[in-house]
Amino acid sequence: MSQLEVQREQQGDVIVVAFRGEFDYAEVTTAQDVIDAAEADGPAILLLDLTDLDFLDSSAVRVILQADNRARVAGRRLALVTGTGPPHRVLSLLGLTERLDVVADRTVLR
Amino acid sequence: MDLLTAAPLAVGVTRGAQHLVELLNPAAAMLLGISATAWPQVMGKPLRDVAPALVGCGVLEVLDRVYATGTPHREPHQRILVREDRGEAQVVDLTCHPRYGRDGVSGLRWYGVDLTEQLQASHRLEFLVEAGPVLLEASLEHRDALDRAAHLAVRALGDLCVINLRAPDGSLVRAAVVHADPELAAIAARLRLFPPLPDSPNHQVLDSGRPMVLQLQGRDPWSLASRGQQELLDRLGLASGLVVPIVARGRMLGTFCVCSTQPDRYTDEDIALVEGMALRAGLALDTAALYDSERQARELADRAAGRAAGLLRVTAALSGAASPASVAEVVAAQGADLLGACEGMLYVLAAGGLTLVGTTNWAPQTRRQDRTVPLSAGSPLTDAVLTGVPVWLDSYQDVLTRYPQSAAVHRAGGYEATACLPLAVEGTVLGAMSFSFTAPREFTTNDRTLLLTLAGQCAQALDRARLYAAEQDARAAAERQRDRIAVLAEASLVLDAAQSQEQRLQRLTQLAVPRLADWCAVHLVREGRVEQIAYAHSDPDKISFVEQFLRRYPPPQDDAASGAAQVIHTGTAKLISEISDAMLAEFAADQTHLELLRALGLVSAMIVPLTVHGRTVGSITLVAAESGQRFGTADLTFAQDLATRAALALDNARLYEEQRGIAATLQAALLPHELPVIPGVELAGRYVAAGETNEVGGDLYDVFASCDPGGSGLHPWSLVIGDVCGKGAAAAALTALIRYTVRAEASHLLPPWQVLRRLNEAIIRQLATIDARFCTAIYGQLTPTGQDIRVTMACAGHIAPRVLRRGGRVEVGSGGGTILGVYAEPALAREDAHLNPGDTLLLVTDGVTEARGPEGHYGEERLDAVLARGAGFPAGVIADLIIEDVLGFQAGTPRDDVAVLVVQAGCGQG
Repeated sequence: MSQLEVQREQQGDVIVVAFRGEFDYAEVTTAQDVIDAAEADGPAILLLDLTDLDFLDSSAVRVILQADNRARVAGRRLALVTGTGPPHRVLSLLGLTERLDVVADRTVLR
Repeated sequence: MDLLTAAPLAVGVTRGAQHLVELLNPAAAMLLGISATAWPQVMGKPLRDVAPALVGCGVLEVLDRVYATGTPHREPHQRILVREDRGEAQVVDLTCHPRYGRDGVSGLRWYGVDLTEQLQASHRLEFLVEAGPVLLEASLEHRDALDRAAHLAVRALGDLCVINLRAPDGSLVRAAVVHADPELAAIAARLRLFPPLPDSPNHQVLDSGRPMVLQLQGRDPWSLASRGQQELLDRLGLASGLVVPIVARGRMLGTFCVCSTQPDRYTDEDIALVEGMALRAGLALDTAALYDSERQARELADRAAGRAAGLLRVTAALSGAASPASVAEVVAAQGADLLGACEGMLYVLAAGGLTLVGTTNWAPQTRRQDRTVPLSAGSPLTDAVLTGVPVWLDSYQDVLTRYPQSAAVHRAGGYEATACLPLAVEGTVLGAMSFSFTAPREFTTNDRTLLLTLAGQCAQALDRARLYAAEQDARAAAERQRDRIAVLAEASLVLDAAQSQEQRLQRLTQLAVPRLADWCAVHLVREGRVEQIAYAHSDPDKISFVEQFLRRYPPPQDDAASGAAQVIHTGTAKLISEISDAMLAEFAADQTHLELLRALGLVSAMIVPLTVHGRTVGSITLVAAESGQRFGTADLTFAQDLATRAALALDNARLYEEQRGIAATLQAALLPHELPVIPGVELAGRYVAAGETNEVGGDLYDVFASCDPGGSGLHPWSLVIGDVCGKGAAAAALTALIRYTVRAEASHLLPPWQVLRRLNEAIIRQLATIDARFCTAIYGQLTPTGQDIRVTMACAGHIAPRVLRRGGRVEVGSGGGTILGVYAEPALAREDAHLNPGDTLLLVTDGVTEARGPEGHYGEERLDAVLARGAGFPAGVIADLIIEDVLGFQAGTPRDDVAVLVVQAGCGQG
């Protein structure tokens, strides 16, 4: 079982933060730091790519919800790529796929 | 091999038909006439070439025969002509054994015991036995024999007979004086006081070896008149005399003298007769002398044999001596015994000089500082060490002359002779030994050889003991180091183990003995008092003894004198390298207490504080007893290291235990103590907290009466299951909010989605939405109708409820809805279930479905499969089935909290 890997990519005014592995309670700080840094750079769109996550728990969902809240306050767009695996299953179970800006893949933004 | 080298018997080992030397000990080399310089070169060479002494004496023939036949052989009196120049043959008792290789006899080993000295003595004895019949009438008491011979002579040959014997200094003494006239006998006896002077005719006879006839009228050949004995001369009135030499085996023993008052009394026949008598006297004398010397020789031989045996004994004893003290014991006692010395002392060379390690008469009052002699010249002992040459002092006079400053001590010991020998191995001086004697003693060659041999063996034994001790020390140090590392490693495991504090500390003490100490105790401060929490002893039998002891003499808890209390009070470690009797006496309450304390055999102790964040919470006491170990500063450092780890682990454990205690209390408060009893409904709830955590979980379930059960009868029961995001205090606060909000709102008998909507509002009111601490939940209202149960539920982002039909079919609800606490207008999905008797409703949290294990993700399909297996079982069994399966899937340790609520419609009840 892999730990969480976080990668950041910038494409114009879009910052993509891609997660891989397991995103749980223990990884909140790691993820939060990267997201904070990305937000500080003031992108128009912050895209969180969850496709390669094998697992995410409620703590991870909370990180996403908080980012969504901040984006709303800051007038920024927060988009998610969930793929069809565990992230999609979890977010849809929680009723969040309708509430959050879920896009099919990164290319949608180009 | 050392024993062999030092053995007083000759030992040789040879290989092949040429008797190639494989081993030849120094005694064998000496026997074969091989010099010390040639000795190292003899290995591998034929015995015939290295020891020419063996050629022609039959030894090689013996060896050849044993080699050829393979039959051991003993030649009790083998002669070996070693020193041709002196024409002396050594006689040895030779024993030869074959050595067997793969193809039969491969070589020989042989032993020779030198018998020369003993044999010479026994040859003299043989001579005496042979000569016996010839000298039958001769008494062995030679004075009697001479007296009788003299009487015989005066009867036949004159008036006076005097027999003079030669003393060792060459002078003559009158051994017999006999006068024919009894009245004159007493006067003649005075002659004994006036032995012949060197110019007397007797001396001339001794010199010439020939008889001499004397004219005595008017003469005084014995110078009696000049010695004031004119009267004696006159009274005897001698006129003629005859002096004949007494000869035995070519040696002049004395003179046989007859005198007469008649002038010219002696004829040639008389001369022949006197010569005959002199011969007989000579034989008698010789026999007596032989007898004496034989007795001396026999004593000498016995002594030599005794010494050889004694030396063997000492050698054997030394080979078993593993410490300088035991070497000293052997040498001082057995060596002194062997030599007839009154005291033997052994000194070992140490930093400060020579240290006395053993003596025959070890005076208990000998103070430690007196046991060390500084290594400066001027005493026999230090001279022996500094020069490497033994110091032989024959008598007190000798000491006074050569070592005047040592004389007083010497005299005080009552010693006369003393020998001091250096103890050296391969040129390295290891110490010295001394032997003192109460009588003066000339150290003969034999004595010196024996003492030097003893010194050589003693030095080797000391060297062995030194090497042995060094090896033991190195091994012990390595083992101690290894043990310590192991103790530290194990201590960490033991202290982190999920056990009570007492159990962990007990295991820690058991870990410490016997590897660190013989005793180990841990004290902790509890409610202001110092309490012994755990202790262990290397000898389990001692534990009950100590328990009795402590009951009788409880340690003074708060007394500053109590070691542990003192260390805990000051926070400073305490090291007592050596526990003295005085310390025990000071500590003891009474005499019995003191005796008991002594019986414990305490040697050394250290107490180290258990300190966390500058606060001393307890102490570890380590005591050495049976092992005899003496703790030093290195030991103390290690103990402190151990205590630091223990203290940290204890503190972590304490915090952990406290937190877990709080978590457990909170969790208990957030779950129903017990589910209510609802007629026609069977309920089961299960909750398993995530492993390795001490925080309050975020799952909850509850079943309660929505309103007064005796009221309308409509919607009388509520059920809820929820899952709060996160853990810890914040999560617990939200859990509590959910529980009490649901209970409050349920009493208004609102539809389930209204209850959840109000819950959502309450959470948002309570927590800022930006915090996004959300929850998922299902709230339901349960109405038993008597035949069936109707359940109306609202779902907020929670896992869909499942219904297990009596026949085993599983129906999965639609679930849905949005989480609570984030959005002002959550979507809430309505869910209805209709349970006929035997049907079961199952609600779980995502700790079940999101569980992960070696097989991957647990998932809803697996949940449904397990649920199907529960068909026909009561609610509790179904709940356990699911819990067991989920835990088993995660190898026993859930990563997230798991909650399960089961509602079953009773079968056939009214």
